Amino acid sequence: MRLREIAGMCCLLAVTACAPQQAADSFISSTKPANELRAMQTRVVDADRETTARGVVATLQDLGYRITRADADAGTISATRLTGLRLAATVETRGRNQTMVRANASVVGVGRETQVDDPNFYQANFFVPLGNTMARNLMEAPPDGSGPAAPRPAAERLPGQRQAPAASGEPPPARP
Amino acid sequence: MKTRPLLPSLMALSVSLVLAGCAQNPNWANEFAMRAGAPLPNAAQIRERETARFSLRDETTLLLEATAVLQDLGFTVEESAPRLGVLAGAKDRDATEVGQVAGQIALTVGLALLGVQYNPVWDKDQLIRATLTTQPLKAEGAVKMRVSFERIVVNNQGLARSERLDAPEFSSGFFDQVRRGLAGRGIRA
Repeated sequence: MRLREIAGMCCLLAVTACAPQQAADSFISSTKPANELRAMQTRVVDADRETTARGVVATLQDLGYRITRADADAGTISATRLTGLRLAATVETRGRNQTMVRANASVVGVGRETQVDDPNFYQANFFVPLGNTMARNLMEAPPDGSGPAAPRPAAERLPGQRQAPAASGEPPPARP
Repeated sequence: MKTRPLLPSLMALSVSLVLAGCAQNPNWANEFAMRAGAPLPNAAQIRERETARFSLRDETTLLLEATAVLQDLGFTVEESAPRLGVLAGAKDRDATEVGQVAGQIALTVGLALLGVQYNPVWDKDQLIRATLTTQPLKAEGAVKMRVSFERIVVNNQGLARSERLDAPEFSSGFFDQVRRGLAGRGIRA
């Protein structure tokens, strides 16, 4: 094995080293004000709720996330990338043909799960790709403070764990 | 071949450095998220490879067949949201390789003879995950399906890593099975 391959493997491991096998013990919320978090995590899109939810699903898959939960009634989609980055998004109808999207991400570290509160992450790593996927311009969160609450990203079952997380959403379609 | 014994040591060193960094840098989660969550530079090529178009109008029928194929391949369906066109499945596999374990034990013994303590590292368990999505193409009377496979490996130290299984045959083989299943129901897609 060449040194360049070894260096590559070390980098890969370094990126995922903060992700332990077990679920984190505690959730560390952002200390930023609620309105600041809401502004960085929320956008409005000119599309109905289902179109937007499907746009979120397609965007997450394009970004390399694994979908772990999807609940059409609640309008919530949860996904994991690598083993340490989780992102959940909720869609909520606003007016006649607008939908609000709120994303919330966390990073799983050793014994803790930390909320991501960098506006650049939400803009560059989620909302810009979402706008591109949906071929629509995304607008800033409305100033009236309305909008969905930040969804908590769901954990996924890891190798060696017998119990899958309780499934949300609809049951698998029954075979005819 | 001289570099091979270095690998676990370099990995252990990088893990130690990163864990130390996690503990000391208060902004580590944001920095990790910016790096790990960045859009994939080859997203368009991956999407094209993982996507197929099926000439049928009923998305539910396609999801039913995809569910059956996943189960035939040994996956357990862990999430299903037909209204959003989402299916997710997983299957467990033992990741232990005799050669890797033997090499690590030999290295441990060799280092012990030199007076160096070393914890051997080898892959233990793995989970293969499938994420499947569908999107109706109403104007064309068709449905688009995308399937992605990844494996998550946990080593004997409890550290997890993920690897994308993006060889074209994974998705094309899956789509072939779905088409065969649909054909068995008299649907030519």
